[in-house]
Amino acid sequence: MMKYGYDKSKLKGLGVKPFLDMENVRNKKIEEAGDSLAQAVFNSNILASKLHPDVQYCLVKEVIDRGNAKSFVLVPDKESGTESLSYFRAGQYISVALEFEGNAVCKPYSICSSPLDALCDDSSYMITVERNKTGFASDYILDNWKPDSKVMVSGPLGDFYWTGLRDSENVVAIAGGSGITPFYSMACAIADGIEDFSLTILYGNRCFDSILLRIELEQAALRSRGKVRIVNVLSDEMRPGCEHGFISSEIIRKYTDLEDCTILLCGPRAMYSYEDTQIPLLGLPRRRVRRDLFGEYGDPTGDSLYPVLAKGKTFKITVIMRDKETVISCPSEMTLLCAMEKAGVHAPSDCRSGQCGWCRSRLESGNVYVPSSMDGRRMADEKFGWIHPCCSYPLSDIRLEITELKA
Amino acid sequence: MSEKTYDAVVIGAGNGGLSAAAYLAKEGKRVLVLEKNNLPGGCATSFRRGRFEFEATLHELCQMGDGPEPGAVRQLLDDYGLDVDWVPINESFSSVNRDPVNGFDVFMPDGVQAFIDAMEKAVPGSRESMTSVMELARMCGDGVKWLAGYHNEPEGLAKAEMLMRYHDLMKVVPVSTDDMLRRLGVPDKAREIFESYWDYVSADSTQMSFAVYSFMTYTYLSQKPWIARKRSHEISLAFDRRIREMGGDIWYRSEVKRIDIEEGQAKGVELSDGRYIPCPWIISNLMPHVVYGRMVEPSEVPLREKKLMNARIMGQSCFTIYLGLDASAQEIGLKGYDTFVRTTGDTHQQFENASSLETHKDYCVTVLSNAIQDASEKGTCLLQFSKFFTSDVFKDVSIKDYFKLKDKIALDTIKDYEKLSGCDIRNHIEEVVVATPETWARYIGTPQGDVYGYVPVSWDGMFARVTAGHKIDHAIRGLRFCGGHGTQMDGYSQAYLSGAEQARYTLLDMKEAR
Repeated sequence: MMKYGYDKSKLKGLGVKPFLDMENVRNKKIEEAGDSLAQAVFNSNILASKLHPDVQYCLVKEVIDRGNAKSFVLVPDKESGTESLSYFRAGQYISVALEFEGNAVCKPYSICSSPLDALCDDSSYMITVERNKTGFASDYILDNWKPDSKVMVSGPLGDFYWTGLRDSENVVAIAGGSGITPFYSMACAIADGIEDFSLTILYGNRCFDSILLRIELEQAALRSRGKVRIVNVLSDEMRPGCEHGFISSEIIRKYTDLEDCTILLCGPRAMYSYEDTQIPLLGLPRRRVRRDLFGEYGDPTGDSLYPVLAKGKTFKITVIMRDKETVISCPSEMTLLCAMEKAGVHAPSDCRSGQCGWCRSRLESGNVYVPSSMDGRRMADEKFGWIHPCCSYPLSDIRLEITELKA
Repeated sequence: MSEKTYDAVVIGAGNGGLSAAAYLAKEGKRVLVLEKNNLPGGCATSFRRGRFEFEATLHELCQMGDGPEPGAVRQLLDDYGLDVDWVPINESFSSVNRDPVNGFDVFMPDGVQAFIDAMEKAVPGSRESMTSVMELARMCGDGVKWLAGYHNEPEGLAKAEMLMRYHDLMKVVPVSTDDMLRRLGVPDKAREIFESYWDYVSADSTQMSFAVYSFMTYTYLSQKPWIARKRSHEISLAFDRRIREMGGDIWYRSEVKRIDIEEGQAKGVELSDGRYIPCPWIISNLMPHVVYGRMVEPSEVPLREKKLMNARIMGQSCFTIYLGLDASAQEIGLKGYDTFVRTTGDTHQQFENASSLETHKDYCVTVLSNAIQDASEKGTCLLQFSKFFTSDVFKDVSIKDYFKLKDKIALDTIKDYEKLSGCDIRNHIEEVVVATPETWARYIGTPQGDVYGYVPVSWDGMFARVTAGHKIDHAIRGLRFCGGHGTQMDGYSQAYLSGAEQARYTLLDMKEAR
């Protein structure tokens, strides 16, 4: 018999009967309960499905020509089952699913409208798409989306939004080209009274005529009771009322209280590269500077860490989806995601920047190169061989298990 | 091409589902795990923001230990062959009660004797009664272990032996933690400190079995709480790998829409894309509320199951604030791994307060960086606040108010802790994520974002559930339930045990059916 040092007298009056009766008591409790089918869906569950739908079916309601860009107003396609579009935080993006010429692609676009527009009865989003040299998906949208086109988009995504928990109430936004879109949404949110912070947008463009959403931005600023201010910074044109040059540290300083500010950046890669030389001059702590999605990395074969032996080769990629396999090829300078998209494989993806993890897949065999600046994997993913195909480049033949994209 | 067939299908790759699948695969069964998310683990996961990787859930594995006599959970996970870098937590908890009259602020170390010593220091005169508590707890632990040797179903002679050896265990199982501590003469303050862990078991000390609570606490003290170095995602992915290595398959983003049941017998499952997988043996990691409410033909829901659901109380939902700070825990002054902050020491009052947004002022503070030195980059740290709600507090929240509300609760909590601790947190926040019951509902699909299954109230405690877990609660042939809502109650360790238990019963069911 085991010896235990507790005072047995303290158990006086307790018997084993309640223990032996336990099951009967429980059965009685169950027997006494009602026989209706219990509620399984609560408000939290409803909020979850409304705020984070897997897919939103939309119709293009309106196309607005903006020269080198177009804005598309999207409304719910009720016939396909989407009753209204999800509310979001200004600055978030949606991932647009496209299928054309054998490609199956998802591309992220910032929502370029007020969150209030999504919430009202005539629920809508706007996205603004710019024509650029590399974006074959953007070209497809610009050339093919017409009023009444059917479009499939994700729920609102991303963490490029303002929150008072973290950010200063004085926000300086640095935008280039179509990088204005999340800030236009923020400006609208402030004008509509949904958000409450002051927003100074330093908006870089080549010339006055190429400023996207210029009038809309001015209108939002007017409606904002002084909370939103637009400063156009023109690189190729001198113009009264506008700054000239790039958005340098001097220009940022001129419009920023460096003691208390948050800087948000969104623009093309060339702008990020330039700001990487300017922002550090301001001496701000890292938490005060936030950047929107970087976008695709491009050809990595020039990286100093890239293994030269793989350069110029093309590899065999066996894509596993549940109990099916497809074999495709992928050149060394292309991401596994792009290779799958070009082959028409419905691979999941959202941010295309290595961060969101939606494309997360299991590398069954083979090796990949992941640029360190793009590697947003969890530690255990790395340990157990899971990769983000949106920023993984093949270094050998590969077997890759992806999670199927839902229909 | 003929499609591969499976001996068993596991719905949901949460802790219970993964354990069930690993158990079956280890026994040579061809098992398919179907998971709606694109990664395993359910609550046991992590996520990245900027340069930080956050642990999704506050957790401490129980019944672990190391060395020659590992706990039951460590034994089970080692038997599965999981490749996890386990890290012990070298403390039990800190507990702050802000009651102006009867308050306390204590740090409790790990180790039974050290705990008793610290309690004596905090509450002079508590040593004798606390020693009694620990000895009773040790007895309960031995009893639980002995029962596990009989798979919790002692029959015949074993039953007689139980009456001989463990009649004291049987006496204290139906007694609440609160009552037993009073009976043992534990001073009120010491009792309230000892009861601090109750948030982990979702029933307050007036409802919670003394045997279960004290056994858990004793095990934490004697074997330490354990976590995975690379977050709980490491445990979940270790499962993923082992299940595959043992011949199992896991399909992610494969949501089961319907469980096919005909005349009380499971037949197969249908995925949301319409694919049908025939299989007569199904283990659901999803709660009965979800399965019966959304996935089974209402006419096939057994009457007893309907009544059981109605008799039960939904467990707590969770509100979590994840912070990546740009200074080290030391620089900021954040101490300890896990701190409970409450406005009263009365756990039942805490339970009641937690039923509304207005009255729930309590929270747990977890500093992962104090358990794992390099949990984030040098000069940064990870800080987390968790609040558990005991009712559907988000029931009236509209979409438009939702973002503002979650930010407000988070801000109030952070400010409150700043005031209490004297730490400057807000000037160091580099990343912040706030998860609400809505977030949990989104990822784990439970009603109300419930993370704790069903409250183990006195009539529905662990011992009662375990006793019913093989036959009495088995309502549909070929369908079993496991997870945090299972027989073993909530928590990672308990879910792993529950998965193994129900997998073992499924194997017995299979034999019986032959």
